[in-house]
Amino acid sequence: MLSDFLVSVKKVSKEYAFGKQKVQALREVSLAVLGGEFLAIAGPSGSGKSTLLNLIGCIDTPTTGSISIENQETVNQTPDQLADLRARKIGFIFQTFNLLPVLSAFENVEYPLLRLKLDKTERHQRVSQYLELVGVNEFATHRPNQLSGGQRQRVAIARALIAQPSIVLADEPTANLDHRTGEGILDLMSRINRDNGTTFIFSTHDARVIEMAGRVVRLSDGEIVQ
Amino acid sequence: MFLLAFRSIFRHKVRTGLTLAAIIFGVGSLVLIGGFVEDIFIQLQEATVHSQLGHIQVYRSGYTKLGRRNPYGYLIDKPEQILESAADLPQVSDQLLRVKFAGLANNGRADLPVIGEAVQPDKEARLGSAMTITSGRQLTGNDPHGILVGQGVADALQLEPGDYLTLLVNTTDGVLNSHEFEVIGIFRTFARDYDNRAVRISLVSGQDLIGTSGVHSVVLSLDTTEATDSVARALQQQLTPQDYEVRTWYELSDFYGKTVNLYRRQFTVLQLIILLMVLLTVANSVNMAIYERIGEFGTLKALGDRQRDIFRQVMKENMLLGLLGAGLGVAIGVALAWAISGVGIDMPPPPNSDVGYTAYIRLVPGVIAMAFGVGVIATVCAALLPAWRVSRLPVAEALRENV
Repeated sequence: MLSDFLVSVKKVSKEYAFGKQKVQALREVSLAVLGGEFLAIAGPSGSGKSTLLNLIGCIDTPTTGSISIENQETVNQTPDQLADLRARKIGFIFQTFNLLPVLSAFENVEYPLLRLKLDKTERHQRVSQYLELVGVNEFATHRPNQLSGGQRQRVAIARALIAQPSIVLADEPTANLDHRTGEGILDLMSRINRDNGTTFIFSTHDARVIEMAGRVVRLSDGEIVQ
Repeated sequence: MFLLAFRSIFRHKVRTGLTLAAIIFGVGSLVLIGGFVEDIFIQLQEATVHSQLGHIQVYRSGYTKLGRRNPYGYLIDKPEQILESAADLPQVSDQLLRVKFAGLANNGRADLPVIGEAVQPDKEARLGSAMTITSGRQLTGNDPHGILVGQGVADALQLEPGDYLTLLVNTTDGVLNSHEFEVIGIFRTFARDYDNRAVRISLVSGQDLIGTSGVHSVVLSLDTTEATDSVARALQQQLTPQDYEVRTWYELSDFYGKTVNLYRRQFTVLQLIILLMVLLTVANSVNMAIYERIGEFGTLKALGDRQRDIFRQVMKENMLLGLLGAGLGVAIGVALAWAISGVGIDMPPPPNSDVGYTAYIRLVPGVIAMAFGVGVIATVCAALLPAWRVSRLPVAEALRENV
């Protein structure tokens, strides 16, 4: 049955094995996210925030339960099918920015477009547009090591948005930034969410960041507590 | 994405430099060693052709199998048909007639069994560029009673130019015959065994000595050794196989064939060793580079790259590295080959020879292509397993390496 939810997480558990020891990262978590939400997943370190984001982002698989993105079931898909799903529907923003060090800001943002059948002019126009959107157009030719942390995260946001995904996942996007820069990044994400209707799901344990979220889901010991 | 591949290989300049150095060393070594071995083949080939055999020899049919037992039974009475057929073929620069005989050489004090050749001296002098006169002079058409003796014969019978030597042989009728000759010169070829037994007299004297007007072989000298096979084929088509057999120089030279086989096998082993050396060095470097970039590959997969995209990315980087290293290796190898060949390498006498020679590094397209191929293939192969492994790493696990 089709649902109106963009993301639907049903009774998902995730167990990691460290040698003979098993760690339960998530316990029967259920969550539904509507399109256009600005959702924070909050909780202390080790609560399962990143694990939940990884599962929604199809970069990890649940031990039990099911996850669907735009009514498309992600469990039991092949690695290539999941890669295609990520390429078309999901953008990622990482705590450590994860820009490719040998590419310029422009080339980093352009990278996800290379697999789409866009002509060069259109591709370059779109990259410039998104660099402008995140406010780093003047640093387009700079390599990541020539940018500040805030600028890098802005480039990463442009990269996450460039393929126009339905959902952007951000794992502690402000954790490696000072308070003021982090606030600027959250403002930017919030503005894009408002203006473009892009769905953002981000994890954080920062109370000030949580305040900016449209909805907050709290995790503790792998369970949703609120 | 070649841009990413190209920039990635220069991310760690020192490590890439060391990897390139290994590829360059391997490829350059193969160019030099391969060129050196090719030079051995070519020098041996030319020495074989120009000291004894010529390029092609035509015999009476059956001579190569049974001629040793009954040499006079395989004389060509009228070599004119062969001479006319060969004269029409392009690339044939000269035709020489030879009569072979076995007998005893006597200097008045001692006998020595010898193998003699009665030849056309002026033509033989042109063909025999690899035959060195160590004392005296070449035999000419004006020396009907002159004889050239091999260095070993001269040493054994203590002969010098101007000395006299008697040859005692059986004639075609089975009668013993002897002639006295004046030693005109002493020669040396690359083959000591030949020099220890060989004597040469003029064709007329030889025919007179054994009592025949026929010859054992018609020897063809060609403009280039490369034309041997095509001329041999053309000649075979013109001559009736029931009457004549056509043999190329390499069919007649057992020593050449075995030497080439031996060196080729050694060179193949060397190629494998160098391929392995490059492969292990590059594999080590690729493993290190990939291990450091696991997080990056995780990011690429999170952005939508498939497993095969990651595999291709790693392979592209190594293909570029291989092409660059092999290209530089060939360039450096060729430059060194030119420099070394400009000076030459003094070589000691090879086995079965008393004559040293100057070796060069030949620039043979096939050898250069093979060296280039070994460099590229080794580099690409070295990346196969690491690329396969990293492409199959779970995304979340790979991304954790960024922390």
